[in-house]
Amino acid sequence: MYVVNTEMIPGMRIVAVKGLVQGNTVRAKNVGRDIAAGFKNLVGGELKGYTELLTEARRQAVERMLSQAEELGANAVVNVRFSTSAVTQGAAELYAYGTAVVAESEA
Amino acid sequence: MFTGFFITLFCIVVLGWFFGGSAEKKHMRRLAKAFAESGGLLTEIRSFPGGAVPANGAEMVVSEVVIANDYLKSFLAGLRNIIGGEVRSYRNLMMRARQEAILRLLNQAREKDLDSVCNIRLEFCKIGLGFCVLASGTAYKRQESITS
Repeated sequence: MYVVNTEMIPGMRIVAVKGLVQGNTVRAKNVGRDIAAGFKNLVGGELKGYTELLTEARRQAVERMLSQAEELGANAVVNVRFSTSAVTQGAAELYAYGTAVVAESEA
Repeated sequence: MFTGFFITLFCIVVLGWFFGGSAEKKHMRRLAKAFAESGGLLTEIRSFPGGAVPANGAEMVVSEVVIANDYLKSFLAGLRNIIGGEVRSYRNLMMRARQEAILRLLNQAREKDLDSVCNIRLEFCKIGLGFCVLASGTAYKRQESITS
């Protein structure tokens, strides 16, 4: 599966457009991590717990998007975009969307 | 005073469990049906897949949706915050909001005698207790022969 955030795939020709595919997830860290992040806030720096949360969420959202693309019979997703939103206190949503296409090698 | 409290609590749980739950299921069924019936092509790429634009004309379509979870689900989501993990009720809620916004784009396109929407963009914001999704896109007419 080719996943790119451009509209074209270099060296490939898009032969069919299957439509919009999307995946999302809303994840929360446990309260212990929230408290740890609160302490980290005193001195500043990277909030590792939350970085981890976002990485996990992104992986899951992309997986869901790709499985939708597979269902449509596509072999690539072009123009992938990500969007995040703070749904509630301590929970973040990650949303990935793209256009599922069938691409062929030009050669 | 305590009876009043319990009656309120009972009402919240019943309202959330039965009406909130059934409304959600109904909405999801309606969305699934509407998307299955529509022959439109929805994409978020800037070109017009399968359509020759100048001949057919293209128009911008914009729609917005504000949606909220029922009290019970919000409360349960709060509990999920303690142990961590995926908050499914909010995931469904957000997906419903986006699907509804996209469906409204498609309906607007149809009113203009167009059938597909490209360059779909989705924005998110919070209004009071509700979640707001703003969708925009470009509606155009697809030529069936070009793309499947």
